[in-house]
Amino acid sequence: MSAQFQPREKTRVRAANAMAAELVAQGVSHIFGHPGGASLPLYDALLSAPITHLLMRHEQCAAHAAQGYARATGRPGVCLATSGPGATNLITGLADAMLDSTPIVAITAQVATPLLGRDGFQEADILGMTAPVTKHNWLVLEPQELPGTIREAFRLASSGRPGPVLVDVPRDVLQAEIAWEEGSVTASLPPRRADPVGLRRAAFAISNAKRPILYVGGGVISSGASAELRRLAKKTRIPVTTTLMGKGAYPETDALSVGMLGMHGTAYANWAMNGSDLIIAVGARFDDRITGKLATFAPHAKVVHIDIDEVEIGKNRKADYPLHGDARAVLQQLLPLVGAPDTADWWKEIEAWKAKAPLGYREEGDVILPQFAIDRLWRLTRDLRPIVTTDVGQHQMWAAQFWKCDEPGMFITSGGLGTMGYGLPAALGAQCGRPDRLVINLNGDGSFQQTMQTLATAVEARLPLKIIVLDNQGLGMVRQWQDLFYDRRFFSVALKNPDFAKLAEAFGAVGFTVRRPDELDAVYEKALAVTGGPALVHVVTEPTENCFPMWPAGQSIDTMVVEDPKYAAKSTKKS
Amino acid sequence: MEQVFEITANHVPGMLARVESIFRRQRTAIRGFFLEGGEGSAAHLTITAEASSDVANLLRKQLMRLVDVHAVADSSQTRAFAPPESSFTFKEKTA
Repeated sequence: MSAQFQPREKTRVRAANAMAAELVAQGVSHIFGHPGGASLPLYDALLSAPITHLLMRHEQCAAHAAQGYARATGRPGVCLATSGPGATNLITGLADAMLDSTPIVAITAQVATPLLGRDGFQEADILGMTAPVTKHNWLVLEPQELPGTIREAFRLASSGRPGPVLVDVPRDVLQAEIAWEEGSVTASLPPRRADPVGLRRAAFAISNAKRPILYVGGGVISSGASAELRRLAKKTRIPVTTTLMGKGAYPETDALSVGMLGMHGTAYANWAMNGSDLIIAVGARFDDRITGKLATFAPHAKVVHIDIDEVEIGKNRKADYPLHGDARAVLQQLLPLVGAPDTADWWKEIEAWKAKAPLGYREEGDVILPQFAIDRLWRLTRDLRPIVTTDVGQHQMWAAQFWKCDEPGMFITSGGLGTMGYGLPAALGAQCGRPDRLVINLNGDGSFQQTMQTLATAVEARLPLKIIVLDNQGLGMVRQWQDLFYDRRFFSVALKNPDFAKLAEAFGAVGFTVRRPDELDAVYEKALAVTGGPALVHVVTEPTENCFPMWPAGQSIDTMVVEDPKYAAKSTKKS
Repeated sequence: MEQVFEITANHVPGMLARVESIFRRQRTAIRGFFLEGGEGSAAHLTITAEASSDVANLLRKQLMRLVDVHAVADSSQTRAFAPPESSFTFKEKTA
């Protein structure tokens, strides 16, 4: 650490330097950003800070990279943008982080204070614009308050229900001199525990349920409750289903797992949920992609709802046993109180559903099915315990179905907002946070092209990302909806794509193209062997494949179509 | 039914916009509004709005999630305001 970052008590320093030192004190190792005029004082300070700055090619990518870093490490990710358009470009990433409860600290520079509110060059009311998509935001007008605000920003981002915060700092505030002493990291509040009376009632309900199911969301991962969840499931032998955000909270290869539920989840997870008499929701929010039509969802089930955010309890589905508290703390309280219910008959029913509608895909000869491409890569790399990020679309749902995840933090995706362009920058952030892990980005041809400039940053940083572009020559999920719900009136979904392997080479990465199923493993092996920079595999896939199971948005789970009627007669390979 | 929200919050610029946005997202129009407090101190807000009990409960919980909000009390039974016999007159905006 340079002398600049070991100031004596009440040293007089520029506020930007104090801010950089606070970031170091908060444990920040990487910042994802893009400089501009107003942020130059902070960049000048960062030059001598022991922090790696990743020069992103768009601020949206910076926000997603910060999300990937946060989700892979459990620590807040940091993104940095200049005033005006730099700051507004962060908004999609902030909204994404808000819905997925991802702790990120966004720092934006602002025009100098005399110009505030006067429509100066590159001025934007970023506080007003980001208020709905942040836990909180600050405009720092007093230079002396800047270090403390940074500390508070980190505390707030990662405490309670995690989420994004934003600190907006005018240029003259960054340049001002302040009296500063190094602060300590603000201690987080102790985790909130559930009310003991409610807890005993919930434990009784669990112990006496006949058809219970554990419905597990991302809150289990963010509270670090996976071990407690496993103990509860093993003790009670209650089936476990996870949401998209909860993937990895419980090992999906375990016998008690029924996989992901929801619009594209396994049929048996959805049937089990709908047929249960007690749903034990842990860190999950009954969103519409899970419940379908609320009025007909799980009609005979009582609900135990454990959540750190009181707003979520009862918001979409009435909670019969509300347990407001941190998932880990509440599960620890609950474990000694619950007994094992008799679930033998319930399991027989679930096993019958599994046999009736296994997750699978058909065999094809000459064309690569996207499910096959994902399944093969999972089988080739599973022993390496890779972190996988996805983008948004059909490939994301196939990844959720076929990429079995056994650990928390290993499946990183845009769940709530469904942001196309998320996957590649999130992979970059995850690789920065976890240089020890293989990081794979599963992408689609449409979504890759939304943030593909991130390849330039990955090449510069020599990050050994593996990028798999599943190319079905179109916007597959939109096409699927036009196919199923708009009388096949296809419009604005076909993409005339570049040669993705050559594109990767143009950025300085290594590119491969594969068109035949029997060549897939060999190409994957070559890509996995690439070191010192990213490798991209362009996988040309069947263009008309649709993703099943599926139910129409807003409809009841009973309307779920388990497999594509076009191919229902063909042989199916079980996953 | 008419709901009355008594809110104690930090009186800082932007606080009101955050509070209002909670009502806007639940498509609940604010029918009456009173704010008292000096900048830098605590502000006391009284807001009346038409909402079902479920929506009002959700609004209260969401308001409590705001960092600047310290307390939200339900005064619907005691009614903080007299019925809104408005003394305002509205002028049409002209070009």
